Amino acid sequence: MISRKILLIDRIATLVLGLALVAGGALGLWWWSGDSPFVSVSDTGAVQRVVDMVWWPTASVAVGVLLILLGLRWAAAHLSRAKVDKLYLPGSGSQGKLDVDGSKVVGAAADVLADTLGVRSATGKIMRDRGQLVARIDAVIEPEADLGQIAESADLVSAQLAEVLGRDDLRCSVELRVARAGRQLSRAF
Amino acid sequence: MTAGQDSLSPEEPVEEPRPAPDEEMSAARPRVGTGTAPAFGLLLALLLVGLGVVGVQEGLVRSGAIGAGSWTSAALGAGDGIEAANWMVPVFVVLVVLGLLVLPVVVMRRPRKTVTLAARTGVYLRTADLARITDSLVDGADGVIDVHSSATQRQIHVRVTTTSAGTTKQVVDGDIEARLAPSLAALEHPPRVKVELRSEDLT
Repeated sequence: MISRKILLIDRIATLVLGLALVAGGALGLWWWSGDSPFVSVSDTGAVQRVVDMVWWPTASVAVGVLLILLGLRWAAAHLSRAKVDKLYLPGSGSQGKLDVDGSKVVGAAADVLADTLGVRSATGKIMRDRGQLVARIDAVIEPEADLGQIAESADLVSAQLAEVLGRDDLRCSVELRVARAGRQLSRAF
Repeated sequence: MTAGQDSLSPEEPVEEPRPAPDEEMSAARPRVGTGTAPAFGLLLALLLVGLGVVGVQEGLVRSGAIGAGSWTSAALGAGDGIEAANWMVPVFVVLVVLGLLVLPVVVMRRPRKTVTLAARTGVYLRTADLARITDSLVDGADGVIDVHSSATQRQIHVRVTTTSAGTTKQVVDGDIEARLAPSLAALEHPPRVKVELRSEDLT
């Protein structure tokens, strides 16, 4: 799960990349046509003089290290995990903390959901998503499953979870996936 | 354990079994995709790291810490004295085209590919899975040989191949609608169903 801040940065960077490509290509074409005020033969002499200055090696290393750190930080932000390990329960305070591995609890709730007819398997975890704390259950259902019944069952499981965890800020998301090949279900309900 | 604790006196209310919980958690936001911008972001991040490596190599070579040719010097040498040539035109054109292809990524909306089920908590189904359910429901209907459907949040497009003999559109449409109805009723905003018939002429 990539944070919205990083997504925004990615978009801005993509904008800069796109504009740079268009501008580079267009300026190149202009230069090639011969109508531009640019010199007709490229000359890197000015850059060469800067590179030969005394402060150049130090500055080059400093900026290089900065770029490497920035690049690694940026790349790592794409790999951040959204799973929440610990969930504090009501009653926690300065006197003491009461916490639970929320993902285990949601996993148990997922097991309950998996008992519904038409649900093949289900797993659960607690994660952060766009500023919300979300109890997420991923369920694989049969293609012939009764969606209404599964929704009802999800409501029940969600209510049980809410009662067990007692956290009002927790949101629930049950994401259904359909198994590719249907397994034979009993037709006599 | 004493007898007093063990038996309930008649005045005490008998503890009732806990009622079924009725307060569902409110629904989380439906999942959205990230689009392609992160791929470009990652690419640029790695490019930044590469640029940093060039900078460090440059500094170390110029200060004499390592004995090697500076990459920057090589690039400056190669870039000196270039004149416009005809082979550059396609390169510049490709650059412009690539740039124009990249720009829409910036403004593209994050892809939303889930439909919401009618429930008090958040229950979501991906559109691709809705298409899969449709396939499974329509498959085996009267006169239907083959079915391929695709779905968006607004519409399910069912492409059906029928036997040529004696299948009218109304009959197949009605049959498909009846088969899909229970599943569509379970969705909060049921998408429209569009059926496209193709008869397989075997003669």
